[in-house]
Amino acid sequence: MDKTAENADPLGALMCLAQAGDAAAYDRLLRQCADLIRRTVKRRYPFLAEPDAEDLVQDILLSVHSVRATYDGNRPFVPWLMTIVRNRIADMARRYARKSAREVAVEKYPETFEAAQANMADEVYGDPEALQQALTKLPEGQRTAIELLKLREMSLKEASEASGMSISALKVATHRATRALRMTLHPSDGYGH
Amino acid sequence: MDTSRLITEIAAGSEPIPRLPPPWVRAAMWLALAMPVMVVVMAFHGLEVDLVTALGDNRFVIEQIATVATALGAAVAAFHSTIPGRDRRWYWLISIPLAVWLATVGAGCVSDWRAMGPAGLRLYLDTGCLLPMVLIGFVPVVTMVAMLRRGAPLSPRLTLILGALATAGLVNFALRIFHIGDVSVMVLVWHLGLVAALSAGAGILAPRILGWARLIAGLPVSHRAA
Repeated sequence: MDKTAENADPLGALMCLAQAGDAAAYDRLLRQCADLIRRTVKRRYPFLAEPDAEDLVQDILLSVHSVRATYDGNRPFVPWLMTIVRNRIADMARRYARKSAREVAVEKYPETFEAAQANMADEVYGDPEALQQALTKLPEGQRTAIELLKLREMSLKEASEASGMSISALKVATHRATRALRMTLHPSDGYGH
Repeated sequence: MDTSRLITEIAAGSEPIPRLPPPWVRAAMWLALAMPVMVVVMAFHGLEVDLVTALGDNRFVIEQIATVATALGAAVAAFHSTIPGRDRRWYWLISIPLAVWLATVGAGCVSDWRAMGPAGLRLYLDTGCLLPMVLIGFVPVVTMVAMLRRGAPLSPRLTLILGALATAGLVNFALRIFHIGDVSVMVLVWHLGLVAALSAGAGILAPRILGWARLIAGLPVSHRAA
């Protein structure tokens, strides 16, 4: 007869019942284990945010559940449980270290390039009225290309069908229009030189 | 998902589960599964070794005992390493038969060199031994991995390296019984090379073959579903 069944190890006794298919005993056992695990996690990683700590507790509970067949009722339960807990906590620490080595936490994503010309998205459309006026000054072909491709966000093929212009003509017109708009809106940037 | 709900779900969905037998019983079961194939391969291949003469050779006997002791010790340790809360310090004891095994093969290399000169250290690829090696090794490898996957992956690399050592030891034991003609340097390089290659491969693949992620992913609970 298992030592645990003699009430020497109440958690072990519950696990023996759980292994035999007693769902109520398993529920009680897991709730007591969850408390133990939560305390251990909080003691080892007091800085962990509540949801992260709870996520780890759940991971450990699932780990315990997945290997419950390895528990031997003749042995104490807590060392069995705590080995799993320590192992999973170490796993999490390794994952965290690997992630930290690969990633850099930033508040604001860096811009694509340092050069100001590469980061104009905010400035170009900052003054819609000025942009509208600059658009009216463009030659008709360039204005059509910008309207279809940039404002109405058509594909080159759709814009070609809508305007009757060839795809290469649209590309050239868009390039020229963009340069002309930059020169009009930001003459100090020196575009076109 | 809330932890309380997760527990309710796990408990409600749990079914009776048989306990894993003790490690030495599992090692015996593994051996029982591997042996029949070995015997069949030996029967088809035929014994090239004169066992009566071989048993009179102390070095051969010591080498075979050390090989089996290494294989069985490593098998028990591999299964033992998948049980949480067990003392692992005794695993170092496996290094004793392993050292004896290496020493006997090393001594064989020296005696071959003394007896045959450079020919005693000639290394070549013995294709005749490859097929039986694969046939003998297939069942122990597959059953070992399948059985180890039922335990807790506390240290997958160590577990699988021990499993590989057990398998390679068993294969080496069988090959030395029915395959003759190898000078010791061949055993040293190819047989122990097999041990090293299997162990290295096991170490690399361990986290994928054994691992918590695989176990948890296979559970029928909707973890973190909400």
